[in-house]
Amino acid sequence: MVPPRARRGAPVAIFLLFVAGFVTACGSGGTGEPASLAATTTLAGVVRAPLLEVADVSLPEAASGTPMAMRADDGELLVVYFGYTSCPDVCPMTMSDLRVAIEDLPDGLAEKVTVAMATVDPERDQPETLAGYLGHFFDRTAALRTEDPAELATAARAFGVQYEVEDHEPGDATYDVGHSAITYVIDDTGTVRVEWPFGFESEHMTTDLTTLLTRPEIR
Amino acid sequence: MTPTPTPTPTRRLTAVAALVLAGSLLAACGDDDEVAAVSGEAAPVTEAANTTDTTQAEEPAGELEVADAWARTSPAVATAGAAYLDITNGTEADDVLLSASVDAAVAARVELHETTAVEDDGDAGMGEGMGGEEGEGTTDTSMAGAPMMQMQPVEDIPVPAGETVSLEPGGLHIMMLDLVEPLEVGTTIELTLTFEQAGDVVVTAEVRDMAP
Ligand SMILES: [Cu+2]
Repeated sequence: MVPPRARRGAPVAIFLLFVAGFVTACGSGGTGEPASLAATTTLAGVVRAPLLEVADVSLPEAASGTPMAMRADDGELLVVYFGYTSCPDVCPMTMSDLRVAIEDLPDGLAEKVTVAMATVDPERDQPETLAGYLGHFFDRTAALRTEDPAELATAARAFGVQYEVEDHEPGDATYDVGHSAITYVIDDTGTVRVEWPFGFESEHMTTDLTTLLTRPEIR
Repeated sequence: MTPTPTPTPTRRLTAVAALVLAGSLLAACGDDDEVAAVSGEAAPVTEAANTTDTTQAEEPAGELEVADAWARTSPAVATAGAAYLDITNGTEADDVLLSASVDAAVAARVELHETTAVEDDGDAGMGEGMGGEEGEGTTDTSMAGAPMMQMQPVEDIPVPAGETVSLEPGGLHIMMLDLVEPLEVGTTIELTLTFEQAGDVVVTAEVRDMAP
């Protein structure tokens, strides 16, 4: 087990709850009594007040074009991230941490988590690229993609996600895309229950997912 | 429009301070990791020392060491890759990482990069504002979004005497551009780091799909 460490690149928008999560993790990883976040009533990530409702937001499923609402199936969770597959630094870190988090879930819970990635770079992220990327990390995935800038902007705005594609010549495939790197966890009513800033530890993702799946009454 | 938790400057400072605090708490209860990176002496990574050029003669004690090097590419589109490592300057002189390079068979270009969280610069709106930025009588300025993670080349990376500088995901990294072939997990690549004082240091980075 890799001990949690504060990452230098963690973004500034980190709230005290997040820090509380770190400190608790220290207790459980160190010599103190085994603390379990899953047994507590609070979530380790950031909980907005009021909670963000995104059931009315949708984006097309990449391959079929069928709109997918930002809502999990009954009794499940939908984890949504806005990113792009050429992203060499930020996205693979979040994705690999999330993969570990889902793998570490108690038996039977991983089947209740779907990971959706909405591409902010539809020019390079063709449907099969995006699906392949997600499939590399997860079993249950949704590849979301639109070529309509306004549609993407509307969905991103609903979450407070920002992105900016670097200016580039047509055909140049090496441009960079800046984007908010927050991971959103949505329940079956379309409510964002918790969000994880960039650099959030996978152990805390696991406990948040476990808490939300096993104690859905927690608000 | 739903209000977003917009961190005020004060709040952000608090958060950063708290994070630093959390970091130190963790350091207190953590085990290996950090220590391994700093201890250096007998670490298997000291091939760095062998390839350092001539200047060490006058180094009184300790040397500059590079440890825990690893690299990653996106699993889907492997035109670029990032490499991460810890640089410990055990000397009494400040040093500076000036550049990094790899064999031309690996990547055409290597740059020193830093990913930082940037607030809305007014240029990139929520969803970039391609066109319909001012629809429905709402102004985006009333609602700042989450900061964007953005990569930028940096001129160099200072490594002050006695300090360890970590290149890690979401922060400083070595960026390999125009990869000749996708980096394959389990293989290694050789990175040559050029320092102002220590000269060239060659390290072997393991290609991994997650942080060590
Ligand atoms: Cu970079």
